[in-house]
Amino acid sequence: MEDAQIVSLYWERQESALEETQRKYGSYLLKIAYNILSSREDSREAVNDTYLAAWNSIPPHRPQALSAYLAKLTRHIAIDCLRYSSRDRRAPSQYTLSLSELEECLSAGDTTQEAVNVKLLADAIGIYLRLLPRESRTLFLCRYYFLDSLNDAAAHCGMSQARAKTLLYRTRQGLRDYLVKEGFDL
Amino acid sequence: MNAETIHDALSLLPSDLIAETDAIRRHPRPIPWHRPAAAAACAALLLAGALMLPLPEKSAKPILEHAACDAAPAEAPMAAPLLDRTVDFETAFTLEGFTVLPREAGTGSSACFSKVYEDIPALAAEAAHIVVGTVQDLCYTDEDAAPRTVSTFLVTESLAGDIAPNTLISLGESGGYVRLNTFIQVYGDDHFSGLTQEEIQSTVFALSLFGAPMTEAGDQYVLFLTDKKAEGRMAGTYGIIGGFQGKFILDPSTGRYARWPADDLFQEEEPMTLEELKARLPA
Repeated sequence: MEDAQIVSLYWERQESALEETQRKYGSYLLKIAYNILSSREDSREAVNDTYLAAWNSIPPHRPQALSAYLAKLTRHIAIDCLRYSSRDRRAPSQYTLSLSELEECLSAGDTTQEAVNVKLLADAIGIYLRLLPRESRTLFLCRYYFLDSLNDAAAHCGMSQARAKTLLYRTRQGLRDYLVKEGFDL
Repeated sequence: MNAETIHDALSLLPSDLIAETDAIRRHPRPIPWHRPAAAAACAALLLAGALMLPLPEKSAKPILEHAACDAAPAEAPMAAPLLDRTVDFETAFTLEGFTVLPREAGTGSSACFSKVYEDIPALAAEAAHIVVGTVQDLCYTDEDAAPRTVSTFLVTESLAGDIAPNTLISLGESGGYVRLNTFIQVYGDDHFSGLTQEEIQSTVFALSLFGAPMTEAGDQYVLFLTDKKAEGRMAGTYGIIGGFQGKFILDPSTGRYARWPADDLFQEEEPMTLEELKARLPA
């Protein structure tokens, strides 16, 4: 079933919308959740919460790219779930690995915890990503948005792991420089 | 700020950025002609110049007949299920395995346009669709040695018309790469009598109108598209109004779009942001 039809089912408040969503995107969302949580049980729970969130948000939303919309919900729910669990109990996951990599975008040794306008930060990162070649942008988002492993992210972009690693490093450095230039206190 | 703040910000990225990556991640299989296309240079090799060029070191790789150009459009990413046109070439090819003649200055290649579109309102008046997006993959064919490029274009934003965002469309353009063996079939081998059959089979050269840049995977455009049905080997593809006249190319270093400034064809415009371009569209 096409996305537009599934979205229509949501709008008509038909529960088959959930079945169709699960059939088409269940494994896809499970992978995203697992990249973050590294626990199959927690991931299934996060995906179930995603269906509920989709049911509660469509309508009023009418996503044009349903898979991206659902991915966004799953990512948000899974990260929340991870943060609510004790940090000591966190299993190593692509999310936790990505945190250490993204630390490179921040000033070394700076422990400033000033409030940051996340929306402004998101706007700046969005502009920076649009200025990148598509290959770099895709790789960055595969690794840090979808939390794909380095191996999977490289494969999605048709490049070797070594090249992906180099490209990600340059992109992180570029992002740090860009954010500094834009006045963010890193 | 810490790394988790960056993750929070990533959660707020615009949907079109996520959809673009999402579509690539969900592509059912890698496209074998994705990478070679990126090797294509941007400046145009002009026909007369090409004929005078010596061949570089010969390539022993065979010509790719019946390449898989029809595979990608027929199997669109699930995130972009609305692919409504397909291309089925008999002799599509990519640059993989070919020797590409280096681009050098030569005499000109030109065309007489039936209409010159001076500005955005003129283009918009005839456009059935105006879309923003990114070239995903491409391949080439030729009709009587006239090069054609067909690309898969991911629409990320629709400014006019009924092509929904996150749709993959097939885009047909004049210009591209001509296989030497095809050229010789049409025009004879006067200029290539010293070449081996293997060299002829494995060589291509580039040709584009007015030296316009070649389309490459990853390019981002705003396109003014016609709904007139294409014919010949590009049947089923969307065409750009006025050739490259209806194609605004993003310069990633500036974030601004501009048309190829063909000599004297139309008044050169200042590069503009997407918002500035949108502002020039008729209400």
